[in-house]
Amino acid sequence: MVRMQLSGGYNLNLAGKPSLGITELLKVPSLISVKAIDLHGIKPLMKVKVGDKVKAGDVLFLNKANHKVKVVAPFDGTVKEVKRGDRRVLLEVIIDVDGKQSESQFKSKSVDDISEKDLMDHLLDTGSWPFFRQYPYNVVADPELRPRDIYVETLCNEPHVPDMNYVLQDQKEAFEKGIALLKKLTPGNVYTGLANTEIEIPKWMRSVKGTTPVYTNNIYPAGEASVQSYNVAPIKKNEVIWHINAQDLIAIVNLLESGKLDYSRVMTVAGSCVDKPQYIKTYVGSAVKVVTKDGVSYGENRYISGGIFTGTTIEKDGYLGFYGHSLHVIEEGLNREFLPFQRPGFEKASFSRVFLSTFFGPDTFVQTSSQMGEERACIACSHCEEVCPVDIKPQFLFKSLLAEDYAMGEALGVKDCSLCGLCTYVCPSKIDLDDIISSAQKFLHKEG
Amino acid sequence: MKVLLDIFEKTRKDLFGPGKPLEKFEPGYDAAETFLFSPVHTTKKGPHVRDAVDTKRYMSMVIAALIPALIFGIYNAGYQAQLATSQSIDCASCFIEGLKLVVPLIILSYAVGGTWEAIFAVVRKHPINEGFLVTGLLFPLILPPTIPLWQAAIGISFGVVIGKEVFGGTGMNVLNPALVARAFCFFSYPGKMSGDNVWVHISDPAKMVDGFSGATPLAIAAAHTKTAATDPNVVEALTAKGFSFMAMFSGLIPGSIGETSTVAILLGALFLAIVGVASFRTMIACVFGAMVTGLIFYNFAPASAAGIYHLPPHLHLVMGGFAFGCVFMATDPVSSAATNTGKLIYGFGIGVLAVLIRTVNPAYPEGMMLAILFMNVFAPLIDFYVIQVHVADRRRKHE
Repeated sequence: MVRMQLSGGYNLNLAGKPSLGITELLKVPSLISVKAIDLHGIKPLMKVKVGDKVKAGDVLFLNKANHKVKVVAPFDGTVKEVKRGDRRVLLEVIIDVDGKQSESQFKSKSVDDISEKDLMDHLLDTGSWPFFRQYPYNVVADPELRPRDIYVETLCNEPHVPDMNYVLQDQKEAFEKGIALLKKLTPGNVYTGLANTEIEIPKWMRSVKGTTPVYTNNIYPAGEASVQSYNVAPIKKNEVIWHINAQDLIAIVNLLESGKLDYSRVMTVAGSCVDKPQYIKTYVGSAVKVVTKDGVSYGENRYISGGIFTGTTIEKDGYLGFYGHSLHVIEEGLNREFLPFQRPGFEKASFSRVFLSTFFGPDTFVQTSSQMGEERACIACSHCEEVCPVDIKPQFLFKSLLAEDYAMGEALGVKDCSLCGLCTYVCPSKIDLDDIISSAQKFLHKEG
Repeated sequence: MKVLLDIFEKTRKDLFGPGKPLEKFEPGYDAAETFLFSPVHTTKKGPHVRDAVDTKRYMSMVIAALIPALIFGIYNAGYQAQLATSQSIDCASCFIEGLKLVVPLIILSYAVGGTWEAIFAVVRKHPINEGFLVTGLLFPLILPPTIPLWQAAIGISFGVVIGKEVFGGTGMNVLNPALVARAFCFFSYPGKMSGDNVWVHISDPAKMVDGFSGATPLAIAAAHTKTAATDPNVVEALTAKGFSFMAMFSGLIPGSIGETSTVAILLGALFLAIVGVASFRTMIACVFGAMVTGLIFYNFAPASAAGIYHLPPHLHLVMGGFAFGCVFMATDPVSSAATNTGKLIYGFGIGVLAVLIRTVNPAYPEGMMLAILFMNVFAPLIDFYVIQVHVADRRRKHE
């Protein structure tokens, strides 16, 4: 057991919180997407083309750098579209689903008896591998490496993403099996981040065999693997750690035991523009219009797959991403406010104390996608340093990265950054630190 | 407001848009538009929402914090002028007289400095920065009320152009622009910036009251000597001239416009602390540095030394520009040290230097300005070493 007191971090109280109670949307979808763009570190090598018939479990594409890493079709169907973006980067593969998922695509195995090698092969062949991600750089795990530790995401406290204390309540058995699997993959510890959210930590979670619980305070981003690792056991040179979401882990257990792909997850539909923010159970890669069946208020809206800080923008008629278990809908910030900075600001969300909302604010704030100001030079207010969960001084880091001084960047902790987005959120000069740091991380990852 | 917004958007499109006749002057137009309406920029990717604070709000907090010192400064400038020429000192006439002295300076400072700011924005094709809103108000507040307007104009031009724009504008400047402007005036026109005759406006020398001296407490303390045991000590000498601690604390004394009232400045400091805009660390460290240095002089100076050596340290805090500099100048985040530890060292250095310069060099009774400028120059060095320590700590963590 480890106790982690996070310095930094910030809880943003946003409107549009999902209410408890899970609505099942498990009808086999007519269209489903596999978001290749979410799989950082994978260079896709296509194995199918538009019009091909695929069965659930058939390989859609491989990682060019390591053909063992495969991404598979979640359902039977026809490849409807292979979407590419700038410079032909593969964005997603959309499958027109036949309306069924054939039974037992893979051989079922027992969790207890499976050897490490068999487990690896199984994970790679079933396309489960990309659910494992690796730090530094938060890329899809490299099967040639052994992780020092594995972190299971049992605490997700970005605003309005599924509360794992709630989701995992009744999943004791599958979760324990999952931990047994992970123990085969690492010689080190399997960490689970635990904190009382609105819901208490399920009792059994405190004493799962094989885990090292990391008790922490419920403040974003205490649940992030790299934040925990930085505070609990920093990654040394030539070491890597892996992390996996607890729901993904349970799906892997289900697949192993039943031989049937399990892409269903408990997700949230949230945000100020959602008519009925709620928990739903649906499939990874579902269409936005399926999960928003209860309606969103009319207007120019921003659809986000994943959390409000780390999620990606998707189209209104797009699909959910590979990892983010939630959909946020907020208003696009196109409205121009009269006398914006001269107001007392009772309703303005801010980490700083320059608005009266600090003292007389509402419980939750409605935020749009507005940048809330224009970009300016850094004025060294050091808010970014105050919120950083991994003790980075972002106001110095971003300057050395802009000057392409990567040696200094590494010394200042560019690899420790989990891209939680808080520094960018609080910046009064509206500097996109997140973008600068993630570009540098991509560059450093590529250059080795 | 929709109508006004439409007018603005249409004007932008027709006159200032790409390829339109006034395209070059878009920064100026943009400044006016974004003063009235929030800009339209939206986030493109995560984080999808942003904190409501922007630099405009941030800077306006400093302006708000300056209001007590500004109002008191206006009143005091008038009060001193009325008093020196034995005219009515009721509130209204002091205020009117003060407005006559101060408002032209403020308008001039904003107009001249703002013009430079706009010129650079147009040439460099970047938006006009709101940092100038603060500089433009700070500068008049640290001037003597009698300064000729043309000197102030040259001063603010120097401050904005050499103090800030040549380094790349707001956020890039090494020195505090308002202090650069004042330093320029101080060294170029010493006759109008120092001495005993510049702090009080004398409208009609014939009416001047007998025995009037416009000397500031610092000048009196510097000139004071105690040769015989029966001579008054420096505190008694100051009190005899009307400069008791309470008088200097409340601020109805000659001095630069905004600097005299420690009470008004403390109100501003309290406000800044509540909204968290200026660094409290810097302020505390600065006061601490001054107290330590003051104590050393107070205890160890030889009896023959000038009166200022024998000042009880707490008096340093209410004399001259110390309080104003400590609260509003030293805490300027851009020219100050940026690390938390750095701020402590930086603030302490300012406190030490301010008292040191005041005391040891009677030619520069206003040590605060020089102390801050000096530490501004050292701030990057301080940060460099603090960062080295930070980097070493990080490295150790990953080894």
